[in-house]
Amino acid sequence: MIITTKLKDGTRFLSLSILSLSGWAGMLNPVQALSVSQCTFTNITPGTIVKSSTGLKALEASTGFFGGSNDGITGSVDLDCNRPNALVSIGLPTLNSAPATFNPTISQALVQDINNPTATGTSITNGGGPFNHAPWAGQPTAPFRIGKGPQTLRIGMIVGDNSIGSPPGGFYSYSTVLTVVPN
Amino acid sequence: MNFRLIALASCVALGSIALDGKAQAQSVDVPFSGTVINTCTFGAVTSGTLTLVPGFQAVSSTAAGGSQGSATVTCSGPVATITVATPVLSGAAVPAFAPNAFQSAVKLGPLTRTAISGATPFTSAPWAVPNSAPLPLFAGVNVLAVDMLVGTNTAGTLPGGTYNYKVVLTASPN
Repeated sequence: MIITTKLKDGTRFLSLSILSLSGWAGMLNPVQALSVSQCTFTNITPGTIVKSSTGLKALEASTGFFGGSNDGITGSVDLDCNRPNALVSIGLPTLNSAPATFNPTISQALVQDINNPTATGTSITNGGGPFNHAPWAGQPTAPFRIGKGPQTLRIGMIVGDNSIGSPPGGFYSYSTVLTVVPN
Repeated sequence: MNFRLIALASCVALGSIALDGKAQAQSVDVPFSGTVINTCTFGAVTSGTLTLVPGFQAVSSTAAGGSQGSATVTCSGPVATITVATPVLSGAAVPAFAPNAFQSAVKLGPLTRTAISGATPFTSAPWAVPNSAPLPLFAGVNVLAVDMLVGTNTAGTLPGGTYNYKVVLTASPN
């Protein structure tokens, strides 16, 4: 667009020439053009939440997490980054549907690198929680770094509260958003 | 001249695009779902006391000096119900005691449900209006009162001894 303007202006012509050289340099350097960081999610496996076996008024999917009560079925997703140290984080469980009488005070999601189980991240509702039992207690909330190449992430979630009881009967549906920021 | 510059500028633009590959965050939704079946859980149980039904060969929690038993049941949802069974022995039988009336009642607020067996049952309250239909429970804590009677609906004297019976309550969640 710039070049369609006053071309008799010597200063502007010089400036345009410098830009064009840098542009050519970019075009002639394919390595630099291909080195964009990127990550790709594939193979999303939904999870199944069930009433917590701890007796708490909560539903959870925690099978496979270390020290967990192994309830329900955790979800999973494959992640492939072309550079190491991408940052993985997880959002709070988002309600799709639940019985009207279910009023959870705590919701929490948890993600873990299966190849490096100590790499975990969690999200917890403000003002409540976390749950006191494994694997929900004491988890770091900060994003964690993941290695280069194919990885598998385990995802769990829990909603409810820390009191004894049972969630009301009915169908429950939630989703958790997993985010990766390439390095 | 203009065409040359346009071509040159196009290269500038393309070069800039090729170099402008910023890393973008990627997000994915992982769904979870499940179905919870309503449950009912019995809590504290308080024993009742049986005393002689005056003038009859029978003992009852409703007779003077007797007391109701009680139980709490907590349900995770409405539409659960509870039923009561007739009394059964929970200890050694008292020799020479041969009852032919077995009656129990469970109460929740103003509602009463009964279980009665035997040829000549007692018809005093709370068995005056028999109703064996399941009793609806509320979501949350339900405090149930339980009465029972066992004996023979004829005049006479009970043999001495300790009478131990129990009444089974069954909660059925939706």
